Amino acid sequence: MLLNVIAGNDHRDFSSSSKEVPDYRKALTGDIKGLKVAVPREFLGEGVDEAVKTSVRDALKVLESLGAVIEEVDLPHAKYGAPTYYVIACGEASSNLARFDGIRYGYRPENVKNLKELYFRSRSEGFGPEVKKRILYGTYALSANQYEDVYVKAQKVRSLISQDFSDLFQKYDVIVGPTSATTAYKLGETVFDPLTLYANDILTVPVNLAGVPAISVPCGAAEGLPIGLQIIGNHFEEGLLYKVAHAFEQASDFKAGTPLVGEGQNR
Amino acid sequence: MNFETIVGLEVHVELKTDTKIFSPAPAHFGAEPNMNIHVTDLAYPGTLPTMNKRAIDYGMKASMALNCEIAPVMNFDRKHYFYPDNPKAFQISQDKRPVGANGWIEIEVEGKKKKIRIERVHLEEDAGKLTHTEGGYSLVDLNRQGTPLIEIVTEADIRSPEEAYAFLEKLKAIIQYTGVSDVRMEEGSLRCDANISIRPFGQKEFGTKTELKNLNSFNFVRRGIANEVERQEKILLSGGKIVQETRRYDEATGQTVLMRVKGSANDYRFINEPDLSEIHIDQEWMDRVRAEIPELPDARKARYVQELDLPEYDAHVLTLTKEMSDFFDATVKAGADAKLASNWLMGEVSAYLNAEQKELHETALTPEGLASMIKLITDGTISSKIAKKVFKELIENGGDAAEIVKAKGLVQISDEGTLRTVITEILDANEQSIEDYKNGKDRAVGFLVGQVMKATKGQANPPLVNKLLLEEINKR
Repeated sequence: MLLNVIAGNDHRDFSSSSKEVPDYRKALTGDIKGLKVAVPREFLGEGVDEAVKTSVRDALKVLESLGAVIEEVDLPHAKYGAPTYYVIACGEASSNLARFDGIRYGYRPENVKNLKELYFRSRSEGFGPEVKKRILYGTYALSANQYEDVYVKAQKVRSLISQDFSDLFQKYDVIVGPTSATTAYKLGETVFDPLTLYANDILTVPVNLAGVPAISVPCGAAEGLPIGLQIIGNHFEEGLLYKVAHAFEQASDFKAGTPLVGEGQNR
Repeated sequence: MNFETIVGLEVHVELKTDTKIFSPAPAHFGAEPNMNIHVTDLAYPGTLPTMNKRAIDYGMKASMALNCEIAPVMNFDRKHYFYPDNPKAFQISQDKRPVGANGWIEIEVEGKKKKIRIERVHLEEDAGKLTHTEGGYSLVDLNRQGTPLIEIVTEADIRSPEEAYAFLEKLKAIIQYTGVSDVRMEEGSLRCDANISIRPFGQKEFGTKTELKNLNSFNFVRRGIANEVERQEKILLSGGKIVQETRRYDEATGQTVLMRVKGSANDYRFINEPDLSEIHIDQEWMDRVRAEIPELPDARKARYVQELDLPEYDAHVLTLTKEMSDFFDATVKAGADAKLASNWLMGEVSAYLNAEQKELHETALTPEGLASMIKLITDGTISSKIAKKVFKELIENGGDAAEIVKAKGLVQISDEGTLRTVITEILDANEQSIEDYKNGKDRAVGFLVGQVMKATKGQANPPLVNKLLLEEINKR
């Protein structure tokens, strides 16, 4: 219902589509007989927890029992998703945040002696470490010396990832896999290991880079922590995603709203 | 050693849209500082650029008129630079996929025709305006921020200051015909930078170039380039080296002055503008825009020469502005003789406009009015001399020439009887002149004709007066 309201053209947002918005509620039929499901090998391969794999495989069996046809496929460029995403996202972040200089926008320190100090201290004191890291990395990635090797290459890889998805949607209705490679980590556990942190996004960033819709529904738990099933559809196929997610939810033990976070052992 | 001059131009043209290119604020001049602005122009965090479709239409129209290919898919990019005239800290421009590319226009210098290639035409937004005060403050006015621009970049095909001048004159005419801009350098709706280098004749490689800014008129472009070429020649001839730098033309001294040395400092970190999706331009869109382009100066010029038998020079002058050319066309259409219409427009009309600092549409003259006067000249109703009086009335107060002539009693006197009576009176009063004429002083006739014209308040038909006068003298 919420999507029914927020989807559609916004004349103040040039990147929004003027396509007509269907009534997504009508998709909730529970009938997915004959649905062609692709499961990328890369999404159930190295780096993905066993518990996650087991849950997702169980979920696939549920879909199969509802009449879906499951096939394993390749999404060859997905593995470059995370580095590509970080180049582009950090580049855009460095661009978007340049206006926060203490004069135009953002935090302004007190007792500054001159303009240069105002700029330096506004940004040094106003931004947190993760933001600063991304600005530095983004600015570096876009600088003339490595522009072609980093930013331009990332744009090309993005096109390839996008092409991988379009190719699969020629033959399949949806792509299914885990949402995250692992279950949630402890608060503070991996914050100082950015690579592990970023690696957690590897299954979702390719979807974002391709600009296609995806939905995540609970499909199990490991040690009381939830595991998500990700269903990815072609452009503007949100209705189909709801249909599949709804059918799965009705047929599985994990009802929407059921609190899965159990005894709080990881809190 | 003889050097060859190599010039490439970058011309910015402001597009005459109602609103800005990425925001709904008005894109007009003359408002109080910071009145024509919208949160998007101020780069409020969270605001998104919207796309002014007319700016794309105009960019396409100008590109087509400059013989460019139109990109079937184009996009916008962010060009980053940090300066107070630019609230986002980047300018939205087009880097790799501009609206137009690979165009050309033909120029003519000293009778020689030449094509100047246009590398690209891209759309972008203008920046705000800074005013540096004496108190050490800089005032920021963002009215201009977001005004749509096209930047036209030529290949390094220009070989002399005169060619640069001819290029700009032609470019201005073409853009002005398309109606996408006022192209007034004095108002900043046309701005030009020149990249200048020289090389010994025969050398393939380009020399080091300098960029020349602050060229505020076509004449300054010509003089600035000439002066910069001279400066570079002197350096090379004395064994020096040209440094890649940005220079400014100083109007007072006629010299170019160093602004800054170009290092690797300019790193614009271009990225695709993620808030504006790619724009697909289909055939239908292109056809629609192309259909709006009027007949351009070259085509009109050819038509004037071939169909109306006008001299090349007339055709050139008449087609410099669309207003003049449209006026000429309408005058001819209203029945005026083409050459006479051309003479009057290039002569009396232009002189009047220059003297009064006016444009044609600011006067009361209409093509029908001018044509009505020219018709009276052609059929002998009025002389050219009387026509000047009629013209003054037409351009100041408008109306129809025949009515003015009637109301002011300016009809040419072509009645032989009336004229003979006047001539007889004049001859009676000027016997000395008759004597002079008979003694071979031809000039005496001129004097007598003058007397007749004066007596008739200029309304006598001059050739007829001449003829009758001689007849009458010979009778005596």
